[in-house]
Amino acid sequence: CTPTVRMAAPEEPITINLNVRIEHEVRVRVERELDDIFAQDSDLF
Amino acid sequence: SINGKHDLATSTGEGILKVSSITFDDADNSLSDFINPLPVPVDLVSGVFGGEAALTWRLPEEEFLPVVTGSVDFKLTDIAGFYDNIGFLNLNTRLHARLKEDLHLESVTEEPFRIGRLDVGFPIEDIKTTYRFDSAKPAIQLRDAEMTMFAGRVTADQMVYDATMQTNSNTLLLERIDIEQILSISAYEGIIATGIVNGEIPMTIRGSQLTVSDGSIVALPPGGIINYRGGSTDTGNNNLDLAYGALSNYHYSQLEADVDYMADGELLLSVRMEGLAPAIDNQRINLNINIQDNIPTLLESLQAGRDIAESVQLQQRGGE
Amino acid sequence: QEMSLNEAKSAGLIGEGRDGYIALVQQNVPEQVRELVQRVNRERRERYQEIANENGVALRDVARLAYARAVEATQPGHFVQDDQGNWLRK
Repeated sequence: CTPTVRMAAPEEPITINLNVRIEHEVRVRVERELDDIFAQDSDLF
Repeated sequence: SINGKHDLATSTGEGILKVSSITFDDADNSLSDFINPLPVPVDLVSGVFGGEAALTWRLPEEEFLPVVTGSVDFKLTDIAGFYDNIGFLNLNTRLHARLKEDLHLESVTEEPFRIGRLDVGFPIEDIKTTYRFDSAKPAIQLRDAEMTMFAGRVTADQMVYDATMQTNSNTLLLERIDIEQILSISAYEGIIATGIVNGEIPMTIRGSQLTVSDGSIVALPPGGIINYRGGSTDTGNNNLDLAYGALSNYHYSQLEADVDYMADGELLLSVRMEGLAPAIDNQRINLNINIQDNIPTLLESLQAGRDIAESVQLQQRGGE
Repeated sequence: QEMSLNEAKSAGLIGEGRDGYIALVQQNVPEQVRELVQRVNRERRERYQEIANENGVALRDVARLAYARAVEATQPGHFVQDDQGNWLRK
């Protein structure tokens, strides 16, 4: 087979800076509120 | 069974309290069936407890409560149960301690301590260490601790918690921790990442507060990939589009992270990666992500999702 | 007299869908069961929406978390949908 040569050598690396804040508080609150409706409305769950 | 003798004249005495093996099980022979209500949110649902205490007591004149001292030597075998919202299986240890006048216990010897599986919201397995403690201070010292977590090993040659000591510091070593396993716990839905990392986590315990500063994590070759599909790539802000485009499928060859953990539970990871984004014509990208995560809240959210008593029994019967 | 949710579940007609709502496990079900499913899902959606608004999260995320809770709360013998959409009996 004939080797194919790719010319598009990637240029200088790009730098990306990100800040990520992982929110668990919301999840804990939502789960607690779900617990409540699961307990109260037994005809819904 | 107790056998001993009491000398009325000197109102002193001594005796041997022998506890032949008690077997816990979850068909109303759990600890909470024997002792109710329990002072601490703990229950033991399987395993064997037995041993003996050699006690001497004396009744000071104007007192009506005897002063009891002596030694206790009890073995716990394959104990399963839970403490608060943390479940444990196959706990094996020996409680070999001196009972002091103030009714506090202090280890006589350093004893092995093993837990087959500890569930804190995610499983920590094969915990092995030796321990000694003094309930008066309180203080506990662990030596040669090791455990399996996220398919890797965590070890510490010595860990001391001593309320009377100013600070205590030592280093946790992480070996071959699997990032994919960490992100597979339910709290991190929506992101997939692979890679195996080693790390050194210098911990400082001051009073009851644990902190980490200048911890380091490094990924082993060949690195790994990151797939985050949560971000949209037409936000109109091309930097953001590029970032989300890269994150949707990023192959990194190098990863280093600084680890800091604050007394209030905030974990700060500053991650530096070198790699490329196949979707953007293999563009080489240096991706730096500062991640902030509150660990107590993370654990609470993981633990909130399950009934610990049920999960301990389920795991005991092999069902996951 | 309208069949209750639990009776319909025990009869294997309906189960907990992976989207947090009730779904039919089989198609030929009495009309009253279809109405039951619609009523229950409408009320569930209202509850989920309240929680979503209070916590500033998407309705879909609340429903997804409700699914995890529903699976756990499902009694043995009742149907639960897995992530691929197959019906499994717990």
